[in-house]
Amino acid sequence: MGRSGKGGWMSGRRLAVSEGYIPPPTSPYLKGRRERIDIGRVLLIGMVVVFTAAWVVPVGAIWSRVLSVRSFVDVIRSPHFGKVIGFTVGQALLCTAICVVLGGWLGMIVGRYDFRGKAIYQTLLMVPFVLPTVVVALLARMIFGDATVGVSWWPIVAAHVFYNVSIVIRLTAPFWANLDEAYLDAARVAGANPLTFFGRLVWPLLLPALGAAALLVFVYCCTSFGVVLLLGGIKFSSIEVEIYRQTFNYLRLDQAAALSLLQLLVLGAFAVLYGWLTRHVVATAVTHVKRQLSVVAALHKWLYRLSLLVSFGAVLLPLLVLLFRSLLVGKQVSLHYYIALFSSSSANLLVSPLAALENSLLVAMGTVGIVAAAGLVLIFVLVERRRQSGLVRLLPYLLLAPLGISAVTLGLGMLVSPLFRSLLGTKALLVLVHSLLSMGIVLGSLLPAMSKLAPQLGEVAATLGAGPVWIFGKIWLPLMKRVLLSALIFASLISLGEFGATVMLTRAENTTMPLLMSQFLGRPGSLNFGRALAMGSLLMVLCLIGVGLMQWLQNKEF
Amino acid sequence: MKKIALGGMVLSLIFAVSGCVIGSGHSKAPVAAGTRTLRVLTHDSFDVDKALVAEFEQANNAKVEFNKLADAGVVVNTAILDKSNPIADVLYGVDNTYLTRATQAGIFSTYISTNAGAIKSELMPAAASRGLVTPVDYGNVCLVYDKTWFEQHKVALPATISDLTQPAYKNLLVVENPSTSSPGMAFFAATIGYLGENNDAEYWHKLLVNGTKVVDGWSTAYNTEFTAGGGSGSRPLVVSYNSDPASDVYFSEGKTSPGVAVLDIPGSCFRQVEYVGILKGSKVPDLAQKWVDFMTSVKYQEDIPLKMWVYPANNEAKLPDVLTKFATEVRNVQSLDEDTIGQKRQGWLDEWQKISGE
Repeated sequence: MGRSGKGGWMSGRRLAVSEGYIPPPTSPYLKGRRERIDIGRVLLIGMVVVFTAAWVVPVGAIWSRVLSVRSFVDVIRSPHFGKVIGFTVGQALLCTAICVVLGGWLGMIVGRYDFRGKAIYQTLLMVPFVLPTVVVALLARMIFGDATVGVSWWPIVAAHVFYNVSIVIRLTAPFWANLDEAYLDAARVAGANPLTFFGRLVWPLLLPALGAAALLVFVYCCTSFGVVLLLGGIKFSSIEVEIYRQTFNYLRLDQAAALSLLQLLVLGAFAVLYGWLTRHVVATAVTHVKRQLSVVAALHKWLYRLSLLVSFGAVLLPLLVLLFRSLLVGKQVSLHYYIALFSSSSANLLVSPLAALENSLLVAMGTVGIVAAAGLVLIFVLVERRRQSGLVRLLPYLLLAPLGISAVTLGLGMLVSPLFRSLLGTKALLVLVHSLLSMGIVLGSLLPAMSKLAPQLGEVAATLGAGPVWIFGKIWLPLMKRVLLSALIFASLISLGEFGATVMLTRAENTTMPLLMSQFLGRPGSLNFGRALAMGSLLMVLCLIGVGLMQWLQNKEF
Repeated sequence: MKKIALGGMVLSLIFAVSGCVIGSGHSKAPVAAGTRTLRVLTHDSFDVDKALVAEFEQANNAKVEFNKLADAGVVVNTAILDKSNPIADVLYGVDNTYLTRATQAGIFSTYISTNAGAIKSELMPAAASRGLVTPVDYGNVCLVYDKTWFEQHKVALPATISDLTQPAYKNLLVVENPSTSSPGMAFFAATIGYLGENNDAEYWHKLLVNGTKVVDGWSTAYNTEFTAGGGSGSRPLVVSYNSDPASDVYFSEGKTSPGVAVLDIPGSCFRQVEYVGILKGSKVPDLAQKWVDFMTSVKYQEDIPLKMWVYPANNEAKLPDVLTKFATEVRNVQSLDEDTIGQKRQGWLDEWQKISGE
C-alpha cells in the first residue's frame, strides 16, 4: 500500500472535479450509457448465475435427496445441536468484536503511517491464511499448554482472531489511507470534541469497510472447521464440525443437510442485518491531498510502535516455529528433510512433492485469473450505479453464499451431481471451487471501496468524449487497482491453503501441497513428520513470495 | 498510457495462465487407441508404487485413475449417494466398520478375487457381504507406548486397560475422538468388546477423569501429543497401529531399534480390515475384475506394507524385513464381525456422545 502520505488512488494527474456536477440531460453520453448498462447487466447477471449455479446445483443435489422437514425440526429441537449452534454463533460474535477493535486499530496505523518494513509487515500479516494445521496444533500446545487446549474455549477464540484479524486490517487500511485530511482539519477547527469527531465524522466513513470486514470475519469464524476440530477437544463443536461428523461418521446425511441449511440461514440473516445497517452508505469523493503527518504526540508514537511490534511478533512466531522445526533433525540443524522431500525416497509416491507444488501453483493462478475477471466485471458494472437500488445492486450479495455453505456439503454435492461429472478430478473444478470460496473476500474488498468513488468522475470524462472502455481503463481501474490486487492476494492464499473441499474433489495426479502434507502427517515416523514440515515451510515461503510480489505490484504506480 | 499498458499486460498474463490451467484440466495424456479407463475410488491414505500401476496398465491396455477422497466415510457415502450413476468402477478402502452399511445399500456387484483361496480366511466378510468384496489388507489399532519414556521415568507398563484409570497413569494417554476418527472408533469398539456394553461407559468416564486427552484425529494424537512423535508432546501412550515400531525404524534417521512398542494387553487392540469391490453399473466390469485380482495378487500385496503400513491379506505375500523384525503380531485382538459392528455402530456413537458430555 506504499507510502500512504503520497495520496492513494488519485496520485499523479488529478482530475479536477466539482462534487455537485450534474451532466446536462441532453448529453450524448446518456445514450451511450444506456447501451452500456445493458452489456453490464448481462455480464453481471451471467456471472452471478454461473457462480450461483456452481453451488446451488451440487448442494441441491444433496438436499433434494436427503433433506426433510422432519430432519430439520429434529435438529432444531435437539438440545445437543442447540448447544452447538449457540457456541458457534457466540464465539463468532466474540471473535468478530475482538477482530474489529484490534484490526481497526492496526488498520488505522497501517493506513495512516509509514514505517520501515511496512511492506514486509503487510506481507507477513497474510501468513495465517495458509498456516498448516499441524503448526496450529503445535503452537496451541506451546502457547496455551496441555491443560487448556480442548478444555476451555478461549484458545479457539484466540486462534480465530489470529487467522482473521488481517482481513480487518487489509480492508480498513485503504480507508484510512484515503481519508481526506481536510475533513479532519475542518472538524478540528470547528471545535469538535473527540466523541463527535469519531461518531459524526470517522465512523460513518469507516462503516462500509469495517462492516464488510466484520461480516466476513463473522462468516469465517462461524464456518471454521480445522481450528474447532483441532482445539475443541470433546467439549466444543461448531455447526461445520457437526456437519462433518454427521456426514462421515454417523452417516446421517439428513441431519447434516439440515445443519448446513441452518448454517446458511443463520449466516444469511446476519448478511441481511449487515445490509440493513449499512444502507445509508456515505459516498465521498476520493479527491484528497493527504499530508505527511508531521508531529505525532510521543505517547501515540510509542503506542503505535508497541502494537506494531506485538502484532509483528504474533504473525512471525508461527513461521519461525515451522521453519525451525523443519530444520531440526534430532538435535542438529540440517536440510535433511528438504533433501528427503525431493530425493528418491519420495519418488515412488503416487504424487511427487514437485508435482504437488506444480498443481498448487497452477490452481492458485487459475483461481486468481477467474477472481480477477469477476472483480473486473463487478467494478465495470457496479461502479457507476451502486446508488441505484434494486436487483443489480443486490445481486452480488448472492456471491457471498458459498462462504456459508459447508465445504463438506459442497464437496459431496459436486461429487454426486451429474453436472460436474465431466469436471471431476480436474484442476478446473478445483479452480472453480476455490474461486467460489474467494468471492466473499473479493466482494468485501471491492464494494466498500467502490462506495467511496465519486460517480461524477466518469460523467465528467464522458462529457469530454471518453468512451466507456476508456473511462473504465483510465479512471475506475486505476482507482480500484490496489483494492483489486488486495483481493487477489486473498484469493491466491485461499486457494493455496484450501483443504476441506479440495480433499474431496482431487484425483491423485492433482494432489495439492496441503493434501500431500496431510498425507505425510498421516504416516508415522520422524521422516514423514519432517517431510510434512519441510513441505509446509515451502508452502509458506511460496506464499510469502507471491504475496510480496503482489504487494510490490500494488505499491507500484502504474 | 503506460500505466494502462502495464495493467493490461498483467491482467492478460493472468488470464492466459488461468486459461492454460483450465485447458489443462481437460487435456488428457495421449493414450493409445482402444485404451479403456478404470476408475478407482479410494481414500486419502491410499498409495501404491507407480511402476506397479504402469504394469497393470500395459498388460490390459488400460489407464487407471485414482479418485482419492478424504477418508473411508466419504468414500462409502459418495458411492451410496451415487449408486444410480457410479462415479467409479472399483471401490477400495471400505473397512469393517463401514462395510455392512455399504453392502446393505447395494452398491457392490457380485465378484470376489480369483486369489480368494490364498486370502487369510479370518478376514473374509460375514454373511451380509459375502461374495461382494474381497479383503485386501488389515491392520491393528493398538495402544502404543514410548519405550524411552517408560524406562526413564521408571513407570511400570499397564497390565490391563483398567490400570489406565489409576493415578499412576494420570495424564499419560492420548486417544482420538471416536466421532471424528477411525482409530478412535476402533479403540472405543475394542474396549466395548472387552468390557461389555454395560461397563464401558463407566470405564470411559474414569479414563477421562484420569486426564486422558481426546484429540480430533490420529495425526494430532501421534505427531503433536505423543512423546515419541515428531512434535515432542507430553503423553507416552497413544492409540495407534501395531506396525508403528517398524515404521518408526523405517522412517527415521539411522535408527536401528524402534523407540516405540505395542502394549499388547486385552481389550486394547482392534482389527481393521480393508476391502475392494466392484461398483454396480461399472462400464468396464471385466477390467474391474482384473484390478480386483491384481490388488490381491502376491506382487501387489507385497507392495502394500511399506506404502500403507498395513498387512497384506494374501497368505503367500512375503512381509518386508523391517516388519517381520520390528513389528510383532499382536495376540490380544478384539475382533467383531462387520454385521455386529454395522448394527451397533450408531448405539456406540450415541453412548460416546453421552460420555463425553457433548
